[in-house]
Amino acid sequence: MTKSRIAPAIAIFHREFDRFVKQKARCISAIVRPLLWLVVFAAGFRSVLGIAIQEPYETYITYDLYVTPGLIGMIALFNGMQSSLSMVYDRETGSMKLLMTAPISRRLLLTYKLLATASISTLQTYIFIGIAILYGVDLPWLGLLSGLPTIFIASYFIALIGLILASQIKELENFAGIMNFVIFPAFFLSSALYPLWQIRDTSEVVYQLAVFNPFTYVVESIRFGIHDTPLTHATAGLLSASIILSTIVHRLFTFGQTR
Amino acid sequence: MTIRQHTPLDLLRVLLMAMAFATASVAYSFEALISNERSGDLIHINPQGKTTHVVRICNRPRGMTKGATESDAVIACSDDNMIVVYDRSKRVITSSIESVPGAMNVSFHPTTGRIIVTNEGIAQASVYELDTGRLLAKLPTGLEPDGVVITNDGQTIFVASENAGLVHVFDGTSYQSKGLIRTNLRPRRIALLDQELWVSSEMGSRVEIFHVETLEKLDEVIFAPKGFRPEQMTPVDILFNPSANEAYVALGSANHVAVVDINSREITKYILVGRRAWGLGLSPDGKVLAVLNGLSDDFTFIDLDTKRPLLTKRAGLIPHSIEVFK
Repeated sequence: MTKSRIAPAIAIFHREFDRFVKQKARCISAIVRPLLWLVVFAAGFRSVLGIAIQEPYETYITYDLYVTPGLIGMIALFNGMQSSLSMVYDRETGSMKLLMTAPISRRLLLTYKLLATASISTLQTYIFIGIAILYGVDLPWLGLLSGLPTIFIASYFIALIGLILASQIKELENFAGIMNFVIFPAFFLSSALYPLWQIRDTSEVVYQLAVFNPFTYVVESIRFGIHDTPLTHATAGLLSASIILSTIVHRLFTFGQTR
Repeated sequence: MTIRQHTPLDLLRVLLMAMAFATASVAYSFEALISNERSGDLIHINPQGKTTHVVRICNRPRGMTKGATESDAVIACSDDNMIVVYDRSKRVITSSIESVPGAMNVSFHPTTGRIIVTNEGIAQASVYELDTGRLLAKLPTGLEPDGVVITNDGQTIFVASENAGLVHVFDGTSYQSKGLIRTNLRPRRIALLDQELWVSSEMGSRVEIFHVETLEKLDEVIFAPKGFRPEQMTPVDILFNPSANEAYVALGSANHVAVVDINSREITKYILVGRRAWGLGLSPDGKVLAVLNGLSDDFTFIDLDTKRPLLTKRAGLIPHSIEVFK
């Protein structure tokens, strides 16, 4: 890799991390949000899932252990969406044009941006995992290692979806719209909070929506990565989709510049 | 939905799992037998939790204990009113004792070759010679006798009567009553630990500890983990580890097994298992605790070094008792 390619990568990573660190409210809320779910929401359901066994778990588990991969996915979802959608602001404020003057291809530029976002998401999830373990969630130590690639791939994939959304949004009036129409449906209509078999028990429609929800595969990929192996269909699917979409996503952006 | 199926990635996954296995797991060697009350069968389980053999044994097999050899299991068949001896090596029933009304639980005394059976419906315990099937004595108990033990020297027999809230004490030679222990609500199982008699009180959410000779109450351990109602704490089976510093108590409807430090009487851990944990079994090396989950029809293996559940697998219908052999 030539210096001309490394310099923009460093600049983008630096910019993203700098932004993350300086936005203390965003930094704290990224961790507090899933912790609230873990400490408050999961507390009432602690023994509910004691009656269920499903892959990749070998035995009965408590609800806090079940919901943790979903909450990791939640971190990636919020950070990925926030970061990618910030490009709409960048475009509005003009800083995007400045970025686009970098002497590298737009495809590479966006890939750097996505990698930086995925790195921040992964960092956030591991801070969350550390606190969750201190709180008493019985995560396997080996799973912290085997879960790393799945968490990173999942984070990259979500940021990529966010980028595609950002390319189609001309003006971002408020983030609440995205929360209501993208983040919440993606999170709730997935296996993050309940196993799919339990969802099917009460609603076939919700079950089918969850099956077709990519976020379900994000959560299951992370779940298997932590508790079994990262080498699953779900991870392979996310990785393939990420690679394919990464090669075409730059075509969706028009900044008044062709390359 | 099936997210994971067999894929070309399987090879890599197997390699990864093999690495994890090599670093994290311990090789165990034992065979467990489980009696399943409703399906009327006995299943052979290997250390990986796999059912290796299923044999139809009788109607409603419940209590089970090791017999005269390392190959024999003595099983109480409640609805057939009989006791059978099952040879796990040959996988056949080798002998039986007929006309044992409502056989509920059974205890074997290896030195004298006697078995003591609780007869649930007729408020009685019976003593038989296992080899000949000869009835040696009938011991009158309270209503619904369940747990039964005999001291190592064969001098004292203890029988817990659920409905009476009593443990009856009999002389092991003359079969005369030696005393009575008044327990908390619904005593179920009894376990002997040197000079201590541990009795689980199913509706009292506790285990009471009595002196074997004086029959005086020494102590009690009350189970009250956070987040559970007292009525969910329904302790039944009790086991001790080989080094006699830990006791394990199956907490029934609380779906947990409690680990109790014998010296301090403190509960050191609650381990999540399946629904209505009753029966307990311990591997000969004391490293694996097997727990039978009567309502979820499965069993859980717990690694006692880490106190973590290793796996949960299907048993038959309503697994009742387990014995773990070398």
